[in-house]
Amino acid sequence: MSVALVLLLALPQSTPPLEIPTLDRADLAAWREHLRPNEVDLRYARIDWAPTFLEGVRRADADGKPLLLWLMNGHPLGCT
Amino acid sequence: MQFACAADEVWRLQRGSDEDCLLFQRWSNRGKRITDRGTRQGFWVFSPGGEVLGRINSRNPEKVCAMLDGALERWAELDDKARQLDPTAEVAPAHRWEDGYPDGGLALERFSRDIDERSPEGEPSNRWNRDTVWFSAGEVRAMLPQSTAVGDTFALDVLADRLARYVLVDDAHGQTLPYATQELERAELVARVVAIDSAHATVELTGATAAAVTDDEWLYGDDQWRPKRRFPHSIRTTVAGTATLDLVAGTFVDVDLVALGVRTGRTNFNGRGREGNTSLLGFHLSLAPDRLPPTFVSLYGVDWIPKPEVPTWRDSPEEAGVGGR
Repeated sequence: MSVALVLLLALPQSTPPLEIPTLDRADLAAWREHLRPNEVDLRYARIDWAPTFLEGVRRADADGKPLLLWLMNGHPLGCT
Repeated sequence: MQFACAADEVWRLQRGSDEDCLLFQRWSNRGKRITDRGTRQGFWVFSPGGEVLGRINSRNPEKVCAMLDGALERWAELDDKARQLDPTAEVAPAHRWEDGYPDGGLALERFSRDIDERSPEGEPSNRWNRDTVWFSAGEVRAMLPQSTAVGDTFALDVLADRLARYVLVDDAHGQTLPYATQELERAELVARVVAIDSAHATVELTGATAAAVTDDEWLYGDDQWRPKRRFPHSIRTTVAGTATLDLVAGTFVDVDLVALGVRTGRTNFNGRGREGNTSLLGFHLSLAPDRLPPTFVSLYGVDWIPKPEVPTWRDSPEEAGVGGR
């Protein structure tokens, strides 16, 4: 193999731009199933999270339990 | 369950001057306002009386469980009085974005997920995210015809615009930034009536969006989302789905919408920094089951969503003129 060919093969290969996948109406149900969270994704949602700190405080007091508070940048039950 | 559980957004709680924010700051910061910028993200355990029983910011389940075990031990040591509700916890926040929930309008939940050339067959990627998007009753009524016939078409411009700016965005790996109107290249969504049953019309939805950021200019003005620096990024999507409309009430009864797209580039915190510059992304939208506010609700620029008296991004004690307590 010539040196020139080796150098040519070593050059970064340009990849064609990605195309948006074809979205056929017949496939909508399959896409819905694929895109929505599955049981594994939603394990966190098995817990009955109060949606605010203050509501959690009220629940903890009413239930006589400690409050487990989950805080994130972005609401943990939404976009984080 | 040994705990009462709650989840909330940390930035407002640790920076805000609303009553619930001040309560969190007193509880988590030895009775004082939080004035530093260190994050309070993670898991906390409090007694209703405001005592910190445990705290950890980790995704390691063993470490989180160890923290919880320790918190329960400390809880067991508290006497009845120490378990009682902090009397200063009887507060009501003056503003939460949840207050803007569009009763009678349209609230959608949106999931985003990485996809590839094998999708929708094959194992779904575990990189996904959730958000919501809101439309007031007035906005929805203005979009929908009062009467229609099979074969009619009509544009859903407000829907297309808000989807393109705020939720058909690259957040599958983490929070991203919205697009401004000037950054939209395309935002189209058309409904075609395919069936009518009494007051309900079934429509097929077809559309497309395209948006791109090419320079460092932030077009939303003074806002909490303003980044220190912007990076080039873009997204193009094709959209298809169905919806059921109640033409008498002027509402959406059902929505089932898919969008597939190509993303490029990155934003500050969306986790694309060490990845290839382009990849595929998919979205699904349907009616929201809860009142969780949209991530970019503060940027909607509409009068039907109440805004806080003091903007959250100016809510540091110095900026808001609120002394520590």
